[in-house]
Amino acid sequence: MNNPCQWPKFPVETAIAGNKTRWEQGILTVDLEEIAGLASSDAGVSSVSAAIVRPSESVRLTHVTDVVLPAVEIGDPGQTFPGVLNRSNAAPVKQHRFSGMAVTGLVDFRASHELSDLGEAPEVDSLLDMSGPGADITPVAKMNHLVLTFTLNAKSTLVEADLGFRRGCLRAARHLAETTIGVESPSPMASTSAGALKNLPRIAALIHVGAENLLLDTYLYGRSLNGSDPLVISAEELMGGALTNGAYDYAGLRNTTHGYQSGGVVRELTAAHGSRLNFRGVVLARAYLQTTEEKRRSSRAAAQLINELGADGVIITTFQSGNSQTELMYSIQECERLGIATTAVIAESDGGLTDEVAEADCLISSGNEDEMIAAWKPKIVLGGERLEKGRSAFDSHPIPVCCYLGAASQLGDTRLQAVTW
Amino acid sequence: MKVVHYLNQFFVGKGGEQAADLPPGRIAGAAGPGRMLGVEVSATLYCGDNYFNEHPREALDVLLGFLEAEQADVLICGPSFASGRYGIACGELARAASELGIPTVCAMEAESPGVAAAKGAAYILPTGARVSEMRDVLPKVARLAGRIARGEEIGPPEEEGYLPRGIRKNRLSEHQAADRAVQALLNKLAGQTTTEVPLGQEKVSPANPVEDLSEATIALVSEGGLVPSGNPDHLPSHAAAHWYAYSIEDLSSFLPGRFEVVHGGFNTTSTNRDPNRLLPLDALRTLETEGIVGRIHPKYYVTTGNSTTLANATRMGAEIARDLKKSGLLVALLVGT
Repeated sequence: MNNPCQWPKFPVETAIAGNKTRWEQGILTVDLEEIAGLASSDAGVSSVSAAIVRPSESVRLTHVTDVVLPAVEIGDPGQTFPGVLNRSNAAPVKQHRFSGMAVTGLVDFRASHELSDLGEAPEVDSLLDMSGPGADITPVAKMNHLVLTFTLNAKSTLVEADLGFRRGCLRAARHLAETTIGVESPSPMASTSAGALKNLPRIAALIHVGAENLLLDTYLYGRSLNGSDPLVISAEELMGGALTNGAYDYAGLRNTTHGYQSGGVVRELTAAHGSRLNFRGVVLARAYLQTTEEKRRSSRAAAQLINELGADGVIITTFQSGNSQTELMYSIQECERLGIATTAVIAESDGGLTDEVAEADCLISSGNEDEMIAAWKPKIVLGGERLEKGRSAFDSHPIPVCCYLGAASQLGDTRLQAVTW
Repeated sequence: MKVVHYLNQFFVGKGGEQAADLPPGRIAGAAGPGRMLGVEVSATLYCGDNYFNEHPREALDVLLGFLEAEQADVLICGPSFASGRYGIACGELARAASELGIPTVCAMEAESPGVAAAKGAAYILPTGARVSEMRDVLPKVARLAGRIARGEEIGPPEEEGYLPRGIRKNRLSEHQAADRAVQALLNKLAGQTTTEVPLGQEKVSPANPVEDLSEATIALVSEGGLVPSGNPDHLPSHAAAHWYAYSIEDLSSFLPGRFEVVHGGFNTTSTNRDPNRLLPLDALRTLETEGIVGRIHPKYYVTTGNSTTLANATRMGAEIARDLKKSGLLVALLVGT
């Protein structure tokens, strides 16, 4: 097993602006002008401004759209983020990855394009606070960020603009990590091998993703998953950047590209492979399907794939809330009917879940998305001062969990948990 | 700090079972066990157990009137120990008081029906079944009530000793959700199943079929978000907590331009072009003219079913059903999206 948990890591203790982009002994220096140019090189993008923010700074980022973990394929940097930055279908093999560092893209699509034809793109704030109570619940707030603020080309189509934004973030992330090529990692690739698998419980992961339409889409090797049936992918594909995000719905429950790369549940299963369990693989399936029949059919197909992986048990993750909880519940039901034990990570709302089945007897909470987080006033705002309801981002007012990027992420990287009072 | 205390007929000293039909009343200051609370009680409210349980609406109207007039900071109910009727009265009064913004502390047996009646609106300290515990329980009740009245932050149930109220609050776990999920699944496979998210969905039995539609009144009910143009009541596009009823008495169909769909969970282009394809008023009017259905209810009922929690959906459904029952309605045509 090519274990992405063992890929060499380059810790970033702090990031600073400088004349030449380089990583040296935990310090990442970034040429902001150069990186802004790289990120804005697609036709859909008019311009990009780059800045660095660090944990504990009094900074609020608005219109936070995606976060990417800087990574590069060691053998061939051109193969990084296959299908998006290139035409490759080659699975990730071995990467240099940063820890403690992210590339964060901010964009206001409504500033340049008419979105009403899409029918849905929630008009709610999408924030990342680097300090204050919002930072406490946001895992990525503990990292350094290269913040890219995009202005899109209003003359381009929305498809081109979104592609330009996504490629700009990924290109910047690859460029940062490329500085480590030829540098020895302080945490070199471990050479541990999995122990005897014979008597270990066989576990799979089922990852639900959104793929409805533009701005609510997820990409595998650069291609939309819209219309796809459940399919099997490897942990290195998931964590190696073959799966990228293009779904920008509620920030607190959004599966970002960083979330896929970090792995969440898949990372933990990979890490435990050979010691506590026998990790059998990952099934990807769409949720937010339009009819009960589609939801049931997809859930049944996903359960069948998990069964074919030979799994005794499966951990299911989802995204957003409401509609997608039905696929989650149906998947639990279909798996349990096949004798596959289930656990699922789920975010709650005030008042509970939108759907449930009796078989859902082992749920892990990723928090209550509706709980209000205490007011906090930043000194600096990046990404635009105006919030969705016309308030200023400098205003101090309580903000719900669902507005903080990844705070209640169901991929598994949050520590937020709702408990009964 | 203004503390109001509620007791039943027995504990307020009006009599035993023979006084259980006593209507609600008020006494200035403390009475009965209220004298042992150790806090100043501004008024004691009371009601006979039978009266409350047989006339809950009337009893609550009177008791809430007393509470509002008193401008109470906190209400104490009981302790009611194992008493069923008294427990229910305490629980229902606590729930009604919470809707006025008045916090309540109760004390009763954890198995008392009063716990369910309070629906999580009260801090309920668990007691045993025996009234002989009164001296031990009262100081705990008074202490908690005092802290609430002073606006102090009340901790989780395992720290404070009250029964969990079913409210889900966030905290930061020591471990990430991914770690906990792996361990939970391994435990489940080893025969130890636990969950962090309790389920609570109510199962509903279908109503009996309608025997004769030509005698029935039919109401249109939907979570499709169809509202008069301009959305006068600001029905939200998602996470709605309210429903509205709008007149269709003079309409033969929903006219495009006079109505709009504000639901945020689907593309509304087609339904805005012809709202009758969301709520089939035009077809129902034809059936009404032909005598196949009796009559159409003069209002349609609507909310948005998009990221709506089970709790809100259940409450709204019950409220709409209650409203419809007032008109003796037999049939509701529910149109989902």
